[in-house]
Amino acid sequence: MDVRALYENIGVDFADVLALLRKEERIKAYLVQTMDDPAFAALDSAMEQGDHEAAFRAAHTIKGMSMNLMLKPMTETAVELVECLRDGLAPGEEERAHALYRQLKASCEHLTALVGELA
Amino acid sequence: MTASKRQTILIADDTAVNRSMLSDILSDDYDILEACDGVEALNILRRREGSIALLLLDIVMPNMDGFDVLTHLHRNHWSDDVPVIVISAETSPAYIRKGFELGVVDYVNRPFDPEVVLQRVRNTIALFAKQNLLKDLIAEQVQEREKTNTLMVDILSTVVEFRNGESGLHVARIRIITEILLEAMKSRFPDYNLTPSKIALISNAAALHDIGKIAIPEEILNKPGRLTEEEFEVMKTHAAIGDEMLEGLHFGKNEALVTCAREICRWHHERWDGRGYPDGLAGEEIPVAAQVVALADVYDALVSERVYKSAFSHETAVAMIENGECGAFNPDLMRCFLEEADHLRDMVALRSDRSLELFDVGKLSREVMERSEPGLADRTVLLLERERAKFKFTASYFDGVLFDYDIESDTVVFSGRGCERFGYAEIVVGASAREFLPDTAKAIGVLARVSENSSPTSPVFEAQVDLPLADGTLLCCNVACLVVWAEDGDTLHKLGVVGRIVAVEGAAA
Repeated sequence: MDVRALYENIGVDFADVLALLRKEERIKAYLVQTMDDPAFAALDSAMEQGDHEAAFRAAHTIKGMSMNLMLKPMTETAVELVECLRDGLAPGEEERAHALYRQLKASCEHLTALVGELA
Repeated sequence: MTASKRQTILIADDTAVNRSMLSDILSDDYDILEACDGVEALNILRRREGSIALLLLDIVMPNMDGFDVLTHLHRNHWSDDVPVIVISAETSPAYIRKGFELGVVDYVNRPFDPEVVLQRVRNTIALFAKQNLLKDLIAEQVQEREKTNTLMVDILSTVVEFRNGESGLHVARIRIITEILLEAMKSRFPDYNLTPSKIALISNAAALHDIGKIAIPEEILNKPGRLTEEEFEVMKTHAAIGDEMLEGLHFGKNEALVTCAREICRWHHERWDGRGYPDGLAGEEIPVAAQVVALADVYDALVSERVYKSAFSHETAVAMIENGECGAFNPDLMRCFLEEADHLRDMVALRSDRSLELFDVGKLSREVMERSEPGLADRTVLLLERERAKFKFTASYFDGVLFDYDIESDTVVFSGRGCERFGYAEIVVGASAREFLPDTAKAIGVLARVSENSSPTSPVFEAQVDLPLADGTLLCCNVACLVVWAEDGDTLHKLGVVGRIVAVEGAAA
């Protein structure tokens, strides 16, 4: 799989990505580095331990990284999770936070698999 | 400005890929330093003070976030020197506004266009460089103008003094004593609204206080004995004459220097109790400028030799003024004079050295005109960088450990060959809270006790302690420290501690 195919797979117009970041090689390198970031593991353990402040920071990092590379599905869920966790978790929001987290984790895992297939 | 030199940009972001992306964009044109959080960013800024051209700052970071960094920069006025561009995934207007309130120059949202980032970075750096160049030029020009002004006034008043049989030193001393008294008034009595520029103006005008004497006949002016009543009446006219001479100026009579000099000329023989001349003004009717010059004039006349008297000692002069033998003065001013009296003599001697600078004015102005050298700020940075390089080289050949503890950032920087043996990292953040030296409670206790006894006058101390090496064994070491003090207005506070650790001769690891 090449980078263009990866972006098509997640429903993003590769022409837009290329217009912004110019070089395909570079985009590929950033994708690999992004999926290697400790923020994903940090989000897992923070959600598990109910540490909402750490979870906010990790989700924020994921949001920033996915924005950089225009990873739309991941960005959308990360934005929602960040807002949900900002200023601590409101009562009754626990369920929603976890649902968003699962959704974000699913799209991260999907993307990690795709990045693993990059030639 | 040195165009050939590459500038350094500091990127502060906790996410590696974000730093890589920015570094890729900028590394062709700039040297890049990276920091993983706010604490590290401040540390680099502090250690490389003056050599960072721009800070690219993330907001959400662990340990110390971007807003904390900005607050710190703002509070210490670092943001005047280092422009900050925030790069953040935060899009909420409140965040962006807060950034700008804290002195951010620009705000870039993700995803960013590399070309736009590069262009904004270039613009910001160029703008700041131009601003710094202008600041340097203005500072130099202002200094230059001040000097020329002062020189002209000094020439004029020295001519008057010369006729008076005095050396011209009286003029220099009146200027200095007036300045010292005004500075004392400023710090003790804010109600007088004395600003630095006002103090400079009054001190400069003070030199002209006796220009009216040019109209006094020489036989009265230089009469060795006591003046008769008629002669004294003539002598007294010098005050009003000085004022009238300046009033008659065709040009510049509305200049602040001239109006201030007129007040001083006319009223520097008035008394707080209303028994002075020429107008018999009392209390606050007498302008502060004239009050201060009157006291300065009396003091200097007492401690100087004149045709009609020999010089009194400083102590006698102060006592005579305090006893009211030489006039009546504003109690606020009197308090300043008495409190500063001990320092007055030393400071007059010290500041008089500055008068020598006056005669370098020509040389200095040529230097400004023909300047191709870097400006003041750039020169300072060059010197700093040179010192850092020298230190780094020396440290790399030092067998022990050198350390530099900064209290404000609570950070220790270690250098020297011994670091590895002791297992010290290059930088330790949060040093006071963290046990960065394992099992060193005892050694630290000893050092803390010895350091308690240090003071600004004896800031150096030494102690012998057992320190653990990286492998856990103890080594008897000699630790020598210098406590660094900083002056902050009138108070002294500790900035940090620098020192070196060496193994005691013969001690086995």
